[in-house]
This record gives sequence, structure tokens and C-alpha cells, in this order.
Amino acid sequence: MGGKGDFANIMKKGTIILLVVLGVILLIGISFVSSYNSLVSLNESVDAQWGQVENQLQARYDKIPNLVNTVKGYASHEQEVFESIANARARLAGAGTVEEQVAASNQLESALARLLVVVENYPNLKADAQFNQLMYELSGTENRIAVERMRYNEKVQEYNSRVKRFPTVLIANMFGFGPRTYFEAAAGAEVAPRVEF
Amino acid sequence: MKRLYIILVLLMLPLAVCALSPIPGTNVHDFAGILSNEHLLDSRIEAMYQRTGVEMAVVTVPDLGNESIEMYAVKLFEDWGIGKKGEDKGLLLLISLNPREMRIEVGYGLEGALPDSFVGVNLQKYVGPALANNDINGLIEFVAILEERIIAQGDAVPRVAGETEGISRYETNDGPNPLAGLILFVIIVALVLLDFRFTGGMIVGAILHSLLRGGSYRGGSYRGGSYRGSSGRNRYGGGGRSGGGGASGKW
Repeated sequence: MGGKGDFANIMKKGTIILLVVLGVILLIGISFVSSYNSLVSLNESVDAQWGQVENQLQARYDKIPNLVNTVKGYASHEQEVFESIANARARLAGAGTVEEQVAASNQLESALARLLVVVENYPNLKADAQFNQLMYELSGTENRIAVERMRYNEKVQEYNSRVKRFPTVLIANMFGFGPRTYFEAAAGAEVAPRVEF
Repeated sequence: MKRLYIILVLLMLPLAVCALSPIPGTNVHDFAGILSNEHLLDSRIEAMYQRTGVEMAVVTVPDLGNESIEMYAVKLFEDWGIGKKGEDKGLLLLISLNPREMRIEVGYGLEGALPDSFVGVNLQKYVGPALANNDINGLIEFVAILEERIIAQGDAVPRVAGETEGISRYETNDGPNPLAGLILFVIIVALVLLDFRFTGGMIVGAILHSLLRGGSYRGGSYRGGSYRGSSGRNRYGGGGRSGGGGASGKW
């Protein structure tokens, strides 16, 4: 009788241990798969958000010639500002990597900021209806860039902290998920330029 | 079992806490207390909603808490989820008392119909003087001009008569399959019970610890619709977003 009870006890213990081990393996497996999947989708959301940034950089790029021509009509001798804008714009057109694009776009941003300072000296220009419209469009675009940049950096932060944290770091290393680059704004450019009438 | 109970309660805590909640049952949220006769503005906005399907919030705040009005507006817009997710046809008129600034933020879906220069010029023309003279009519006029333009540009989708208010406006189709969720929930509860039975909750404790540590940086995020379950008739929460389109000015 006692022997049979012992046997049943051992069997019960064995089953319990087996269940616990299976449970642990299942949990580890689930967390591995979900870590990998979350890395993939976070990585893709960083790419998608960078696409939004690029769209707005392109919109700014397209608006510049019109704006510069309008300003030239009133302030033709401000050659230095026009040249720095043209240079930065050309550099943006040739930029390939994210780092190059960030650098070129920051250069363009500071050139545009100088243009806005110059504009202050031309009351006739500020009264021009077409110029006002362009300025609204430009400051709207600058603000859109700032917003999409903020969202991009949020996504990069989320992704990067996931990549660096245990235990996801194991999976990240295993599948080659490296940290992504932030879009650092030029100093003082966190606030988009605003038209004051 | 007490620990298990605490853990279950913790799991039910909402992830995001929002700083500013919309006042239920109105489109005008005068937190700074600078508007008068705001019910007139509210019904004008409601009329625009019926004719165009565009949701609009007018929000006044005492200050901007060290943020630019542009960033404050875009975050508030996303936090409240003005407009429906994917359509993003929402408008936010944000007015700050200190500093005296104003901004009209245009949802992604209306950027085509309402260019920055159009809303900027009319913001200066109607909203600025209306605020300076405490005249609600200027704000009503501003809404009328936006509505006219949205209709003229073919972006208006009138509400269907008899559509149930308060349900249709918050419904989103992005939830997971409820059955799959239920099965997963049962499996998780079974695993948690097993863990508590045999290890005293060590595994669950370890997982929760890593989850909570990891989740902390998400705490302050502005995600739309997080208050959707609260009582009263909230007008927003559809998950609409904006991307910095619109115009700002001083008043």
C-alpha cells in the first residue's frame, strides 16, 4: 500500500516539475519571438517616420526658389544670404545618408533664419501680399519639419532603448539590429520661425 | 494570493495619463476663462460638424508650460485625438493667455483644403481682434470661413441623419480580435496561477519587474483616446492627428 502511494507521489512530483519546466520554456519562447517582432516593427516605424521627415524637407526645398525670388525683388543686393541658401539647398539635394541630410538641412535652416533677419529691414517687402503668403507657407513647413523631427526622434528613442536593454539586446545582437541616428536640430532651431505682422 | 491580486490590479492601470482632458459635451474648452457666450461658438462648431464631418476644438489655456504654442498644439491635438484615425479631419484653435498667443492647428486630412496662408490670414483677421475685444462673433465668423472653404474644396462629408451620436464618433477598428485576446488571457492566467502555485510567483515577478522598468519611458506620451472610457459625452477621441500644419499669431 505504502509503495503504491510513494509511486503516485513521485509521479505527481514528476508531472509538476515537467509542467513548470514546460511553462518556463513556453514563456521564454514567447518573449523571444515577441522581442524579435517588436524590434522589427519598431525599426520599420523609424523608417516610416523618417519618410515623413523627408517629405517635409522636400516641401521646404521646393518652396525656397519662389521665396528667394520674391525677396530678391525688394532686396537684390543681399547676395550673401541668397548664396548661402543656394549652397545649402544644393548640398541637401546631394545628400544621401540620414547624417548628410540632417547636416544639410540644419545648414539650410540657419541660412533661412538669416534671410528672415534681413527681411526685417525691408518694410515694403513685409507689406507684399505674395511675400506674406510665402512666409506663412514657409513657417508652416518649418513647423511641420519640427513636428515630424520630434516624432522621428521619439521613435528612435523608443527603438534604441529597446535595442540596448536586456534581454532584447541579445536578440538585437543576434539579428544585427544596431542603434539608429537621431535628427539633432541645429542650436536654436527647436522653435520654427514665425511671421510677425 | 494577495500578491496575485495586487499584480492583477497593476495590469489594469492605464498606461498613459493625460494632463488636460476635454470637457464633455462641448467643443469649447475655456480653461483660461477668457471667453463669454461660448455656447454660441459651440453650436456653430457643432453645425459645421454636421455639415462637413470636421471635428473642431477651441481650447484656451492660462499658459503653455515652457513649450512653444506650435508644439503644445500638436501634442494636445494628438492627445485628444481630434478627428477620426486615418481621416485626420480635425481642427484645433488653441489660445494662450500668457503669453497672448493663438494657433490654428490643421489635421493631416485638411491640409489640402486649408493651406497655412489661408488659415493664417484669417486667424489674424478674425480671431486676433475677437480675442482683444472679447467678442465671440469673430470666432464664430472664423469657423464659418473655415467651413465654407472646406465645402468649396470638396472635403465635406455631411453626417447621415439619425446616426447615433456618441458611439459612431469614437468607434475605431484598430482593436485586436476579442476571441484571440480571450484565449491569450486564459493562457496567461493559467500560467500565472501555475507559477504562483509552484514557485510563489517568482517568474511572474521577474517578468513584471522587467516590463515595468521598460515601460517607464512611455509614461509621459501623448496618445489619443486614452480617456475614451470615461463617463460623459466626449466629443473627440477618434485618434486624429496633425503634423504641424496651420498658423500662429499674437493677439
